[in-house]
Amino acid sequence: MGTERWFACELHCHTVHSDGDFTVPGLLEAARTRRLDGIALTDHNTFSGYLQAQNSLSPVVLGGMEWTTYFGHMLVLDCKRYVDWRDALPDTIDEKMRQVHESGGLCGVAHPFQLGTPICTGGHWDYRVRDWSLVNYLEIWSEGAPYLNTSNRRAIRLWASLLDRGYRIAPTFGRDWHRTRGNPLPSACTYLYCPAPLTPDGMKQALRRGRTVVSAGPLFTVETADGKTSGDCIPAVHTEFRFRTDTTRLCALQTENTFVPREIRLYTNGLQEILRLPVSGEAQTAQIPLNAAQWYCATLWGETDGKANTLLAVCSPLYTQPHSNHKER
Amino acid sequence: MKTLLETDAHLLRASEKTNVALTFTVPEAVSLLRITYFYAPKTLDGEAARPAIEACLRRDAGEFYPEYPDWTHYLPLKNLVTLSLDAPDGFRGCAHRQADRQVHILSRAEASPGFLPGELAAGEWKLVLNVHALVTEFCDCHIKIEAEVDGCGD
Repeated sequence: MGTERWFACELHCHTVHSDGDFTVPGLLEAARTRRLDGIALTDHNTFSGYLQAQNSLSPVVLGGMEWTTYFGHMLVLDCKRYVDWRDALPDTIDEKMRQVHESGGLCGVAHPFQLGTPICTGGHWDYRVRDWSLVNYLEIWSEGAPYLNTSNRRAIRLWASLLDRGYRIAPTFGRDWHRTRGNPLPSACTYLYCPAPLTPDGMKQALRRGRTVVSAGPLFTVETADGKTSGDCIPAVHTEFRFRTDTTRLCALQTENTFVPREIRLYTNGLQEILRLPVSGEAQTAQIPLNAAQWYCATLWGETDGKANTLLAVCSPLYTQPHSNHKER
Repeated sequence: MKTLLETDAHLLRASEKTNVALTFTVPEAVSLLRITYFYAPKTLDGEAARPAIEACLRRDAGEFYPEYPDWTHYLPLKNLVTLSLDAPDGFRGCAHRQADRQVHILSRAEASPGFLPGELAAGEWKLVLNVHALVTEFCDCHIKIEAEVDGCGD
């Protein structure tokens, strides 16, 4: 197994097997054009398209399904046994998610604040989740314009409130990709930290471990001196954070969108901002005094097509260990 | 082709967010199943749709209601009744799309998009109407399921 690196992925795709315009080969071709290394095929309520996609190497394809239910849309990835989406009820979703996990699958919340029935049927997340540790990931950015529209802003707030309660949920971007036209910011994606070469299982493990970066395009990452990165748990001591901004894929994409990174901001519990650092190069460091049992989320801000103060990237948090040197109470 | 089931379903508003299952029996030696399906009405337009749109915005946009477009932006509302299918041995797919007229086939080697090809086992099958949205007073669905039986020239 090779070394780990960040791969550009699209985790929410549809084809003619549900209501997308893409044929399966058409989707794969569109993904190659976008310089995407991996995709998750998540047709509504069926996995028949995966039969045509499973052997693809470029992009690598992780099989899944978007449970398009009456009370919310849930992304289910790599579930080895069919779990029925049709009888999911607002108060039984935990049991359904347990069944998915028992069959090796992952669960993700899609666009939690989309309008629901009858405008977008079941699009609004109305499930009463009891145990959020059953949720592996949550789309904090949905559709093609990942700067902060209203529903994405609400999704980020929901996600941060769950982090505050101690749940470790990976943030993702989902284009909800149905067709070629009408897709602003074609460079937006979720970067996953996986062993090279990329495999479907590598994508899955990255999501499980919270090794994600949500981005409008630039690859923005954070790590510590000993190589810990998003999703990892680190000691609550003074720590050097290393931030890196990489635009290699954007250059290859020749996207018409322009991104000018201006500021790195670090957030912690309560969405409290604890660092604001002007971007001065590809690699930067900052010394951060860390508290125990908290989350630390690095974000990149700047201009998108001349529009100032837009969010360009969100790294999944690093988490600090609880106090170990003195007992509570 | 042998007709296995042909029926109407007259769905009322209260069936929104429910599943309506129709069972049918597949005989031995079936090489192809064909499902023909249509429903009407499809849409609800104009003033008649306004209360449902505004209720949805109030419920799901909450305090952000003022940031959303005017109710007319969401016209017309659509009924959405999708088909999913179960063989005696498990799930055989779903056609989650807006079309109000659909024809699907399944055989051992191939199937229409959304459905899974494979053995067409004899026994009790279920065609399920998934009533995602019912915005009109009622919605009439027509379903016909036909089979091609091996050794049967007709």
